[in-house]
Amino acid sequence: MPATATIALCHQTQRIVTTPITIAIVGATRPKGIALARELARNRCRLVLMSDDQSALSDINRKLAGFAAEILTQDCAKEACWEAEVIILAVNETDALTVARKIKEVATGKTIIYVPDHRQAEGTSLSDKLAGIMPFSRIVETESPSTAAEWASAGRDQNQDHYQVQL
Amino acid sequence: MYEQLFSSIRDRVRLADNEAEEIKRFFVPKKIRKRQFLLNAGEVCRYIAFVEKGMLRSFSVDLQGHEQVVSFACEGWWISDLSSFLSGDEAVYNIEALEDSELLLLTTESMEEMLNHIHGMERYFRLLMQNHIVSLQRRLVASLNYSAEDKYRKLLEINPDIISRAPLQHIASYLGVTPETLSRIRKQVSRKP
Repeated sequence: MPATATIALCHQTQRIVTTPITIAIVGATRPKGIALARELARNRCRLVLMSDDQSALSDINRKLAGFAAEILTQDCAKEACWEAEVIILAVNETDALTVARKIKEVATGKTIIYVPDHRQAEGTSLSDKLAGIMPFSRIVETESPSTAAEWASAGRDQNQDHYQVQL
Repeated sequence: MYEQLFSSIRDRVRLADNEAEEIKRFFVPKKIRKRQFLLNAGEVCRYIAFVEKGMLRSFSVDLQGHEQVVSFACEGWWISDLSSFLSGDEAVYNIEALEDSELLLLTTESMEEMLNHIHGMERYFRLLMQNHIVSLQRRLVASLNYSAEDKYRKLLEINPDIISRAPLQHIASYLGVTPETLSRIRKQVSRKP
């Protein structure tokens, strides 16, 4: 019997295993991506770490071994986001727009958390542009990795109202 | 990414061009790797899943820890714990990917919204439910009245994909026999087709 299977008919004696949420981090080797990966890896989830930098990705993967999360790696943003229920974009503004165009087809119904990797000018926000590219995703934005991690962990519940764009 | 879904829909109902585009927004595309679970028994089933590519199985686990395979789903099929999905009660099935798979997930809320907006989809799901009831009844009758060999021959005739792609122990569980008995049946069937 697989370790994750549960015995449905005797809940009182068996621990119920919940299906782990899958979270993709695009830009996983950038400073905020690394901070997010460390924070999220403490939880029982599947983390798909995406970066073009394969050697840095292997390094992070090694450092996160032994954490509660199942760590998976990807070098393709679309593939990583296709697997995920929640997508974190830990990249700069230009890259976020490029990635959004690549992943828009697989982002429908999913929560996209944009975490800019540097402080943005007062009053600027990329959320509107991202929502324009991915109109059937729920776009949220924060500069804080810990807030992003909190939102990502709760992401599956937030997906319930996925077809309404909420900014 | 939606080819199998639209083929399944257009086999049953007519859709306007703009409706096909609109339908896409209700489905969550999701890839799942081999041996990953889409659902664990005991949690609430949030989705019904349409299989664009790959193969999954649903199964329950008895008090002794033995798995009983309830259904398989290949390309063009739906899979879920319907009872949990529709009632919000805890699921009794586990759903596991037997191959790397591409799914289109539909939540209860999205489904309601879609059925309210696109009339053809209401008919599509009514036809699906009818088919589901018919196949459940057939499976019940087969489990009560058919020999193991008859059940295997029927599965081979209707769903040869399952026979060729699913692991032997899962097919045996689905048919309610041991893997050893299934091996013996396969030899018999290959000798006298």
